[in-house]
Amino acid sequence: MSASPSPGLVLPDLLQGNWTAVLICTYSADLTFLETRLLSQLAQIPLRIVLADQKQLRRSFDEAARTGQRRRHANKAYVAAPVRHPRSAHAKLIVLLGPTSGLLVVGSGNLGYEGYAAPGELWSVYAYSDDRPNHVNEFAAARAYIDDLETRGLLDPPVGELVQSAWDQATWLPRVPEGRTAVLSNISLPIHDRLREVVTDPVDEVVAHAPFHDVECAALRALIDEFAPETVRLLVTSATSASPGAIARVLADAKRATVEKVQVKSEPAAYIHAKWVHLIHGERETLLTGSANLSGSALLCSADKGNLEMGVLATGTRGAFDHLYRHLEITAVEHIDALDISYRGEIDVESEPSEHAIVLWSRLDRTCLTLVFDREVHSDTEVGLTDHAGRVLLVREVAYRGECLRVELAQESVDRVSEGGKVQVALNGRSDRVSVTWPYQMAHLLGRLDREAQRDYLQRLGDLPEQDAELAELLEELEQTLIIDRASAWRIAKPESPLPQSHVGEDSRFIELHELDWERVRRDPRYRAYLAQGRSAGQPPTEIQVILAAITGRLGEIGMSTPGRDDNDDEVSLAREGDAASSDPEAAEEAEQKQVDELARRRLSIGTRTRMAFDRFVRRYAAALDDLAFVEQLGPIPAAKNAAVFNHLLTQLLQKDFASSDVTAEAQLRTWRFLWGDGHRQGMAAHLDEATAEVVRQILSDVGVRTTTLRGVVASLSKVEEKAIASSRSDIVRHLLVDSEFGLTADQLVDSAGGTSEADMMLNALIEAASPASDAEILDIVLAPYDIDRSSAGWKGEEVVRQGKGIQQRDVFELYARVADLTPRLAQEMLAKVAVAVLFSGRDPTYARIGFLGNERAVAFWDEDVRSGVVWDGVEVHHFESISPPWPDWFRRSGQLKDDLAIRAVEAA
Amino acid sequence: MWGARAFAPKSGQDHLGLGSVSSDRILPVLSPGINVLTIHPRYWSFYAWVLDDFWGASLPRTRGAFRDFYRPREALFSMACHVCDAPEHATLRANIVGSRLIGPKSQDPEFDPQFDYIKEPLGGYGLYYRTTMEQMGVLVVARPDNGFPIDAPTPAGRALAAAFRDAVHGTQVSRMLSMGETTKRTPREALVEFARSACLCQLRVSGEHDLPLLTDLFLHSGVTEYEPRSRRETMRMLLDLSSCCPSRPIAEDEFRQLVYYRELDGSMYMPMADLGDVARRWRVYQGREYFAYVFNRLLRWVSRRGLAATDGGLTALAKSAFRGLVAEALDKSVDEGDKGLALPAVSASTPAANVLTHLRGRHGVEYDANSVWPRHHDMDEHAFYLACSSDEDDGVTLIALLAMILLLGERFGVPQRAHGFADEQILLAEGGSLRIGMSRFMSNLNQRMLAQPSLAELANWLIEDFVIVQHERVAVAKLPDDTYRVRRVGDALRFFAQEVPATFSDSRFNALSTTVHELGWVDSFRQSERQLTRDGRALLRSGDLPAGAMAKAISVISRHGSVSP
Repeated sequence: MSASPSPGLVLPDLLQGNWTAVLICTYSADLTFLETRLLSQLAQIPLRIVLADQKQLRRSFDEAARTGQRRRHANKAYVAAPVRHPRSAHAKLIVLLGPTSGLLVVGSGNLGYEGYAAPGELWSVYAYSDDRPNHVNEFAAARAYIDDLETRGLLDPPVGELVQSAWDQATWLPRVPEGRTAVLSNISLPIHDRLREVVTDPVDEVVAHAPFHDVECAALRALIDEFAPETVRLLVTSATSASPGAIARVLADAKRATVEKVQVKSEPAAYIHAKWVHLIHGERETLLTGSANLSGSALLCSADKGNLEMGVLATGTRGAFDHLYRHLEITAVEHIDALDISYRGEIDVESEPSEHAIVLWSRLDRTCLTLVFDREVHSDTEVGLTDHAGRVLLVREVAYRGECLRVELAQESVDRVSEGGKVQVALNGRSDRVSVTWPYQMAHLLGRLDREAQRDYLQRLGDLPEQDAELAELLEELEQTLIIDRASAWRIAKPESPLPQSHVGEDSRFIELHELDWERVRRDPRYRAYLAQGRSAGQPPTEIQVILAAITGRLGEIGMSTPGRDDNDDEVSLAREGDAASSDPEAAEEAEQKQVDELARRRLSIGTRTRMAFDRFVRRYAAALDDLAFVEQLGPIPAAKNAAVFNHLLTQLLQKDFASSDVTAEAQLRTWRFLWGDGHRQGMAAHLDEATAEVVRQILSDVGVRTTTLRGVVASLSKVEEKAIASSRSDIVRHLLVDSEFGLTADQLVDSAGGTSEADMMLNALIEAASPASDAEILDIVLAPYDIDRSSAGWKGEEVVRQGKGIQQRDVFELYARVADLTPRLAQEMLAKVAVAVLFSGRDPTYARIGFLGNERAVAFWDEDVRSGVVWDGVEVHHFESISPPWPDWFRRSGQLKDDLAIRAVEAA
Repeated sequence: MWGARAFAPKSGQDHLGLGSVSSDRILPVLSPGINVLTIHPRYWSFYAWVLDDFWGASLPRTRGAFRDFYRPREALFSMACHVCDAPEHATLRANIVGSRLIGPKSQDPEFDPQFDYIKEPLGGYGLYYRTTMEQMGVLVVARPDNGFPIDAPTPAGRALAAAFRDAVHGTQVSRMLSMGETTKRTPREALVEFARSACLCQLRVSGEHDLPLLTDLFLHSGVTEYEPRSRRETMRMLLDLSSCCPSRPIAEDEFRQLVYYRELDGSMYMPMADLGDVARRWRVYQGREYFAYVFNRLLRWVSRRGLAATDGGLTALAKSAFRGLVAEALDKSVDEGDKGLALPAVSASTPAANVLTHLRGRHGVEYDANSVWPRHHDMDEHAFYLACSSDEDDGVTLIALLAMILLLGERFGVPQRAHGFADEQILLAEGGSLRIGMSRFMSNLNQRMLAQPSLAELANWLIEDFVIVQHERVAVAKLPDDTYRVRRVGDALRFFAQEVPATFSDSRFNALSTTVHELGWVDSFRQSERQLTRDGRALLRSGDLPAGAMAKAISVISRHGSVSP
């Protein structure tokens, strides 16, 4: 039965996941709600079809056209199609389909805020999976209903085609149910008759509610006549559309009847749009829910004569449906007339036919726009077409075939129509003979099914998506695309064999390389994708090319548009509020705080599972970088491209907090060591023959790996303070500053940072990353060359006299142990090292002093401001006027870069 | 199972999304780099100083370290601005960051720099100034795409910092801060001493320090060539306009009327010849404000009348019943007070064209884009706006709003007068179909008027197609925050009991007028008998002041400020 007895189903939360198709049947369709709110969470579902009542949908499209809503995605990224039933197409259901699973929701709510997000609707939810197939018949009933719409010609032909494509994605789904199902429709039999089939024993009580009754309450009367219950309880609200007189007349014929007013307990103002008929009979109870109101055309007619309706018929023991009423506040109504309700007319009236031909639907195939009218269009009819912005579409040729017009458009016009939005059709230049249509763009709609060609998420690697589901999708696509370790190679070489059970942790070195058929790996398209250079005519780019283009922001160069930019951009941007508030700082502060909170909420929405999955992926890659045998087998070009991809991915993960910072930072360090070396060992290019090394260098240059590395250092610096990582980072950054292979220049800094001023700050960050981080390291600058133990030295605050400045408080470096053979020259040499330590410890660099407490309190100092120094060796004073601090090479290089940037800054100014 | 409420109600603001057109599209064009809350130019110097000092200190480059460094400094600065006793302080407007909590302490003998003076971690810098400072090229804001851990000053920012440092050099507070001392309570006297050189009010007398740099910056800096020119023109227009009605202070309300009508209390504002374009742009801006006000006030009317008719939203109201409510309000308008307006007696069925004819009769037919628009205090946009500002949601309010939109149509929407605003077509089109662009709307209005609608039909058209539909679009876009005030449910309307304010967007007048005053070009606009200073007169007359102060300072900084191992 229903997935859960919980009284609160948050429907929008249900509408997401890794499905291949979603079909929504609804009476009215709030396409703004769909596009702005739901489409983003349904983004990964290729085929999204909404089937709505034709009059309601027409009203929605007409309003969009009138009020300037473009509906750019309608019939391009999703289908919004009419069910051309003469009366109301009133059924409400949602089917989510996957290759081995499905989710079915049947109920009373229409597509929109009120129907999907407010507490006045009733829903039944069914899940299917190959493991738990028990509700397959309910799914089949839903499919049979939709198929029947197509069979009856109620769907536009292109929509029928797309619906079939949806079913094709779910081969587990039978065309028709076998046996009785809880889900039913009135396609062949009125719902009332279906109810009668189920309930055959005498009925004690009927409880019924619907927001709409027919004018004479004929449906209510039919229930009473058919089931002759001992008691009738009619539930109404203040918004019920019904004639009090008709209710009174019908209930008068019941054995015993009450009228009761219902409200949602938690929200008395909520509109109760749910409809149900609850029969209590013998030891059982039967509950009909779904779309059918208490009207003749809904309950008493089959589809031939009435509406299209869908419901759920559930049975249970006594009390099985008590939960239904726990949601409601129920009060008895003494006199029906006391309720201020009235019959507000039939909602299902047929509209008057238009006096002129109107476009029913259209489709765009390459340059041909097919327009299908509601009547024949004569060949002497002049057809004027404009796009969503009112610009004329250039027509090359028109072919008239009865109700159908085939219009050949100029390519430029095709491009405009392809961007989405309405096409306005005017006949004979008459402004009063205009209709609007959103063409079905079949190639685009069906193309979304070709997930292989989509590479939707790989394109997002440039700027990682913020949504958890999208991140998870991206990770999955990366895992399927990249060969990063022995486990990846195993999946290619032995696709039929699962990974050995002993595979634990992230290091896959337990897989013997000789177990893998490397020839097979190299023949595989995934491996060949690494080696592709350029593109053959007509061939799509390889996945690796897509990834690298996404990283460098050059998707356009391989014929792909930057993803995620135009999706709902327009309407979503309406959420941005203007400065309606005054210039009150506290109000602004509060507004800012809200934004911060929102950002935090979005960050929190990145699920632990996704974070852990990224951690595992990153660890696998980092472990494989030390697996030299694997790297050798993989080859330098795939290895270089992997490093380029991970270098970017790791920085993004770190910047956006999408993975553990220590895991990510550690993997960064290994990647940089692999690419560039670290002072102890050389980078990858050094191990290659010159020709291969050149190819690798070109790859790294093309993908901007140096820029990513520099940005990665800055990101790591701001996110990770862990000592071991900071220490390793220092080693690598010092190396990068002087390494000829990395070749850091002022130009590179400017490019990487995005400007001269920014370059200076980036360089400051590099200097900070390279600088000794711990007290011990700083002490070692002075002590290590002389093998003096750190416990023999320290800093001490003292008052010192400075020339022209008087007495100042300064930190003095003190050596407690005796220095053997201390000479004025040695004291001066050690003082020079102290000057380095002073600078790196953040002390005032204009003054350095060392005290030799073990050498008769000998002392040496240097005052940079007056460029004068003194050594007192305990006996006499020695003056000197220069000093040569042993600045590390990386620091000297950073100074040169600073100077280069300063010159640029002056030039720029 | 029952469906549950998926989204929680929130108050929100700008429920038709129209405010964003002024604040995000039009005003940034008119006054780039100065926004509603960046009132005091000297904050540029102060924040640059703090940032530069942070980068000069040996501290971790983390946001946390910067916050700890920043907050006591801004708290001290705020307190100093509260205790300042300099004569220039008399004209300092509000908007000292942290005033709400620090103001009450201004008489205390000591001040704790660690005082929690504001909730936002980076105070006024994070809330207001950093974005515009970046726009002016003073700093780089840390972002994932530039890889910076925290914001940092550019050479221009460092030059500004150095000038400010120079200005406050020798004060006890600056010495204390240079030594990183931010924990000891600071005597009031020390803060008074600091304020005499650091306070926001002291900028206009700091010609030896940061004033020349800020003058250069405000007149010549920007991401594009257009930005400084536009900012300069707007600031000059303010100087030009300051001489209008010299006997009375000019506040925002007067500013709006002056830029729109160019007349206030019988005093005319005739822009200098080379300021005609910018004056016309500001006229369009204020036209857009009146335009947006009509729809916002209609939403307020709809919401409040709807709530009143549905027991505060407990029930739904049929659309037809709501139309009846509109018609009834219009019909009853003849029995209501006229709110000081000279509107004709009308009913729901009165042709809207009658009201238009009435307006034309009073206003004439010529609305030249460059001339003064004569005031009619009983029947112009501002009069309608004032009349609708009360909480009465009656028929006269409705008629005043209809009259206002018709009058705006006459000024900006009639094709034969469009050429007068030919250069402002982009501003008039702002909003497009997403946020009710004026051009698009005026075209629709002209079409609609051809069908000779009654007042009720015109009102219903505005309410249904431009208020309810627009509000629903905005509210959906704001989900998961549920900010609905009214929603269509089938053939009915549901109303939700929350406030719907109808106000103008902030015109940035406070920020602009304070900026030109504190840059030393004119007396405060709050003063009567305002005078331009010598620099102010030179700027107004010649169109600009000499550039180069910043470049010179950067050059000095670059030579002496670089790290030389």
